[in-house]
Amino acid sequence: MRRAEEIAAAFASEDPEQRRRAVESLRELENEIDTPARYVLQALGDDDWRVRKQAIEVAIAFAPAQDLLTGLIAALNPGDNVGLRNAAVEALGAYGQAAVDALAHKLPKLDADGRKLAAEALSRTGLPSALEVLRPLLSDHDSNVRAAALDAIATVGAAAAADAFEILSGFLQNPGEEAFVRLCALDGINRLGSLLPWRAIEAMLEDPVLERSALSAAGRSAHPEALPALLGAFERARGGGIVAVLAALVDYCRAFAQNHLLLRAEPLSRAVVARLLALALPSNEDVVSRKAALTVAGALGLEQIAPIAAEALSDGRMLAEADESLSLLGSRAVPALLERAGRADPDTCAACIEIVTGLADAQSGPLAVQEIRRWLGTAPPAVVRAGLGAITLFGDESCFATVSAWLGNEETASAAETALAALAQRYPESAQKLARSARTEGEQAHAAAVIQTALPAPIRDSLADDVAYLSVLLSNPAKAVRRAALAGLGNAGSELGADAAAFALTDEEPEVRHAAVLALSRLRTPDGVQPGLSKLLELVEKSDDQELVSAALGALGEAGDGRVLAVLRPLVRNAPPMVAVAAIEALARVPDARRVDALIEGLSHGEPEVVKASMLALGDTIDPRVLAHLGACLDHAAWDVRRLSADMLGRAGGESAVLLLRARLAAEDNPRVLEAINRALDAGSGMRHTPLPPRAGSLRPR
Amino acid sequence: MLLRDVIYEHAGLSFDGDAMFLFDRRLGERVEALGLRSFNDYYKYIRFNARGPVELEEAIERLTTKETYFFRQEYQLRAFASELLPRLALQNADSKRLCVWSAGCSTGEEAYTLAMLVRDSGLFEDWEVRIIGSDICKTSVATARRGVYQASSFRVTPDTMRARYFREEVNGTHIVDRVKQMCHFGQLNLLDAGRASMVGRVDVVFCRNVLIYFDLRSRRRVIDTLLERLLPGGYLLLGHSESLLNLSTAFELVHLREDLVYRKPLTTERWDSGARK
Repeated sequence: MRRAEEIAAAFASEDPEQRRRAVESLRELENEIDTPARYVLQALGDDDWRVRKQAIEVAIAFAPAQDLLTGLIAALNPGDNVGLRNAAVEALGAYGQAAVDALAHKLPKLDADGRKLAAEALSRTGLPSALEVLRPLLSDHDSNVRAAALDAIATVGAAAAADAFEILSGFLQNPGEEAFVRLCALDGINRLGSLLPWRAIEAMLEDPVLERSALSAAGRSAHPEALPALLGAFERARGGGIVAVLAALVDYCRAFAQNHLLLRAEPLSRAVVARLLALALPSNEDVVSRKAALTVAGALGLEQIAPIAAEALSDGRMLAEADESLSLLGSRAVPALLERAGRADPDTCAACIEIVTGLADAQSGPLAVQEIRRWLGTAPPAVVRAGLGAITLFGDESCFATVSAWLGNEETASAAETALAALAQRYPESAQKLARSARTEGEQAHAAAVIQTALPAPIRDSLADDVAYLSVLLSNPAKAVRRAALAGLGNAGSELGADAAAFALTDEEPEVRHAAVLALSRLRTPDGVQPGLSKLLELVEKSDDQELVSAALGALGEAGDGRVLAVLRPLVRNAPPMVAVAAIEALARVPDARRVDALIEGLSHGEPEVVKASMLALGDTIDPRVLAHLGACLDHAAWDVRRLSADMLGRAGGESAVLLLRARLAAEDNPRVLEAINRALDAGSGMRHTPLPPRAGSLRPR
Repeated sequence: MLLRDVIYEHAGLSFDGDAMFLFDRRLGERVEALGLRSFNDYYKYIRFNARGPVELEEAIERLTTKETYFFRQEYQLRAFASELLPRLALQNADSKRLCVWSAGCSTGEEAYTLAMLVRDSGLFEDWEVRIIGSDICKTSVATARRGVYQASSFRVTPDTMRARYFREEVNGTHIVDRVKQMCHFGQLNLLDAGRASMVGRVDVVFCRNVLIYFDLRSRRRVIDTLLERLLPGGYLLLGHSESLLNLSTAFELVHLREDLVYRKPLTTERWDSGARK
């Protein structure tokens, strides 16, 4: 009783902060006072926005309290308290299906403002079931209500895109409708990411009200005739319109990132060129338009953008778009990038070299390598790695020594190995000469082992000579040499290397042990027997080293030998998760129909990750039982298993999958799983989603 | 006590009674270095910390003695060189393959010593000879593979052998390449039969001063593993204070002029397949 009095006193206080705290305390006092809903509703209509904001949070936390819901719906009745009505709308969104049902019942009794607010509240539920409640509002005599309904349909339509698009596009084509209502429909379609026919967009470009949104639709249309229209609009645009047209042009360019020729077919006007270059310069303080200008200029093939984009690589805000711009320009950006790399800090220099490597062609690549090699002697590891990447693609036989020199440095060894292997494949005679003359210590030994991984054996006089040399390298103190030697043994493929590779499974370095596993899986006698498989099977059966066993399982799967089935099957149901997943992935590659039974057993493993691995493996098999088992996974205790099941059933499609999904829809309460089920049902209904292609760009994480 | 059990469970190393002193002294430094208050905290660190497995390796490294040197227990090496190697040269004349395993090789001195003796015997020219060294301690294996030693490893090395099989460099005394190339090192817990099987079949096992770290149960498991790895007719050599008494009856005792060694019977039904794997 005392608490109730305190609350009542706090609510009556003139200090908004006291009232806000009183609202906040309602969550803890829910069971100690008689009428928390009354207080929440009172606070939703408070004069102070901070109190209302707090009240919305509490109202959401109390969802789906029936007395509060009733009060929130009642708040939509005609009245002067705009704050209360807006707050009620915001809170109602959290009441889900209960709010949808209550609003459907209330709508006929509301005035125009109330109906508009109801549409907004329905939109906030995000539920596709709201579509049917919204549909009658489309013929409301008040255009504001119609506009609000369209806006709401676009929002809830994300979960039922086909229905929403049909409603919105139908509305758009009604010439008798008010322009701003049609604009709402067009904006809704843009938000849904749906595509309109070009002719429809073209017609709307003539309408001053619809033009800006129509340009956005044109940007996503990927229609050849859209480009001149967009460029014309860009040339004419003023003020905020410039950014809007640029955004549409960015969409257009990214849609055509794979097809430069089409983009460059149109000669650009001087005004367009000048405007793009000006916007891309650092003197333009508007980051959004600067980024967009970089992308569009690159996509349109403006060579003048290359030095500007290369300069922008050292500006963290511009990095992605600068990279994109250069990538879209292609090999024409190489000189500017090399010039920039020559005077850049190590990170930017490495980034420039990486981009050059991705963009250079047969003509510019070798010239770039000549330049880059001059920098490598004293360069930091990041630059060396990037330079070795360039040599991998464009180096010639004079690069063998340069590359070998970097094998001994742990930070550059991997890149040097890749470059050396590539050089060996391009210049096998020089590589063979180098390998044959190599000692068993130092860089030479490492280089010889790498060459042995790249060329067919024998490199020396016989396979036995190759194996003998590589076996000696397995005693090298450097783990990188031992690892490369094992890769070489695997590539030589001779059973003569089996004992040496098997003993390397006892190496103290995990990466060497893993290399040994791979090598063993690749050894064969002249008549095709794989002596390493028995060693790997023995390892799987006897070793406690989960990581190594998992690697061995992977190799056994790669070997695709049906005999491994008996070893893998018991692991699927009972082994520790890491091993069980490896066994499942290996099983998936075994060309034996019995693997399906083993994979189904994996669905009974106690660890959800193992169950998911089994599901994914089963998804790639053709077996009539699989669908039923995937359907059973919709009832799994773990939500992520249920979600994957929904995704896979959606991908499988067909009547049976739809039935399974619909059956689960009624019982499911996890929002993420619900979303997946709805998406899967959408996919089952034939709705096609066409996401934009990924943006061009060559930067990789270093 | 809990910590002692973890060490036993992982590596089979047994510390009771007097050995507990060693345990406290060597691991006490780690407790201090990690800023922990007690062995109980150290136990929890090993069991539950993300770096626990790495620390367990560190603990085992500290608990295993690395006291070794070239040509240790000379009388046994003489027996190996003068009596066992000639027998094996005859025994394996057809296959021309010889494999010797130094089980518990520490920093490699024993394995290299065996390689030098094999080479010095002159009996195995053109043979495929493999000397395998294994140890549970990762850093010992890496040291063995480097093959670079300091003065303490040479307390009894004959001058002739030193001149023949070593070369002096600034950073220490190096094993010459022709010996180094005969030796292969790996990290191995002798209780892990799965990993031990990767050694392949061998003609001789040197397992000297290793069994002393294990309790009776673990010793039996280790001996079983060694027996499994030996070819029929192959030899097992233990440290001078060690024997198979109460451990195994699967071996025959062989009286050499200077030593007693164990041999895996040629005709035991269990092993009659005889073929190398």
